[in-house]
Amino acid sequence: MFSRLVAPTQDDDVLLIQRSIVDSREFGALYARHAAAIHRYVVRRLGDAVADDVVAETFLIAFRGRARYDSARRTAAPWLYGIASNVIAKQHRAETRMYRAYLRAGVDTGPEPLLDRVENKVMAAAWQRELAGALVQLSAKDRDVLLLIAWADLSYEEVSQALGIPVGTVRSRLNRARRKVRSALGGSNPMAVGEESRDE
Amino acid sequence: MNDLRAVREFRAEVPEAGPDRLAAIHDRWTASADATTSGRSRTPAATPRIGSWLGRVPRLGWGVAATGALAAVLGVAVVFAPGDADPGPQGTVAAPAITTVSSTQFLLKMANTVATRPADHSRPDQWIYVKQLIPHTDGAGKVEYRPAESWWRVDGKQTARLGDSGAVEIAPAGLAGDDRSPAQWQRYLASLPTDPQALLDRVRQDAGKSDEKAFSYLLALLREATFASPATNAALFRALVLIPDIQLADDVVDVAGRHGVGISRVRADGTRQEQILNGTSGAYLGQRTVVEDAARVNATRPEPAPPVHNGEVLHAEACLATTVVNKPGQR
Repeated sequence: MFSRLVAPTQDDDVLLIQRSIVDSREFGALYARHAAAIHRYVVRRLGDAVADDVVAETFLIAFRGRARYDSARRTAAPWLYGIASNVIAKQHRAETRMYRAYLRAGVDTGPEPLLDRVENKVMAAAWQRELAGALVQLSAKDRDVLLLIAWADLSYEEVSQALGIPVGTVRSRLNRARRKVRSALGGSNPMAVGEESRDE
Repeated sequence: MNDLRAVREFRAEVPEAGPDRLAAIHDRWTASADATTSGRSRTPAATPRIGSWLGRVPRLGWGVAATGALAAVLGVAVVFAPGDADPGPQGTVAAPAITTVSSTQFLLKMANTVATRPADHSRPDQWIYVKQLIPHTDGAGKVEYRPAESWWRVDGKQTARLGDSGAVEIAPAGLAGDDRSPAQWQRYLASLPTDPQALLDRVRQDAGKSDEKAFSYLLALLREATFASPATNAALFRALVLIPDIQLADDVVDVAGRHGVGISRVRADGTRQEQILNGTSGAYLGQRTVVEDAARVNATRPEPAPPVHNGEVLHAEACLATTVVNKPGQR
């Protein structure tokens, strides 16, 4: 039962992964520790509908690759986000569709069941539309870096581990992505951006 | 302005998935992993999700109350249904009366009843009107059941709701994700086998192997069953008979005050999931989640949540109407 899985021990991820090579059930504790955060990240990027597939595939790939885990890394979060990023890349149509939904009508597509969602539907603010417009135009590589930092709260070093790129590349991709976001948010219609409410 | 902060706030309202849903995902990838280690190769099954326009999905379970963020988004909370007695001095109320009269008899009778009932039909450009009573809480945690009216274009291209001002608000983007439209639901229902055992097998494949998941899924399908063929509709009831430990409460009052028959099953988390049906027609009236084993529920409850008592109603809702209409605003 899952109730058994949601009581994580205090062990390092690396210990869990090493033990899981002998006893695969140990991997369940790793899942219990990271699944909710990974799942939420995936829903934010792709919408609700494909998230379960993507998370299941992410953990299946992780499970199969557990023997190759770098034991120098105490937390497995960057590793898991890196795998998730690769799986997300295969779903770019879902991601584009979600951002375009904001562009079309500014309707939030949260993961609630339809009835609840219609109750809570709000027209997205202009800044959300403009941000969605910027995100959809970023290259996939730049978007991965930006969202791993902004949504997954990874550090530059962790993003570098997750994506297998040098830290300098993380910085340059992040800078490029932020520049595009800034220009979209400060774009053609400054009044609609909602700067007043969003500035300190 | 700070661009990074704007990105952080974008889609920040997305809640964490509840334990039921995460457990279902866990089951899926471990099933694939097991298959691989035993020499067979399988990719994770693309399980159809229950995210329908009628009724809250069973995967929320009591997590509706447990996940604060989600509860805030939905405007729901831990509730006492008006039909239930106030907690006594010991803070407990009587659990719903469960009769030992066979649930099988009732389910088979309903199967025979719906087997002669023609299915509702709708065109892609028509709308499904749904009126429900759903719980709202004020800041003090007091619960009030309010009507919520919504319209779903059958092809999913638009949705609409009755706004607070009384005006019908149309959301032009409709089902902007990959969620199922009413038409997709109808196609899914039409694709289901009408042999009860084959249907249950399919449900276990789509929803998860456990009796608990199969039961939840069948209840959700029954909420949409007015659009199913009579044969499918009857098969849904007959498939339920094949699931063990289903209990029957022969007189239950839903949050709209209507009497019906409760079909329920206790979940592993200690809650009882109950669907209330019209005892004559089998029509869906409402549903609720009731605490059956408070110790078990409290053991898995997030810290800030107050402990629950046996018999406490964690969630309840009622469906007042569902009709096919030609445009939003019609009832």
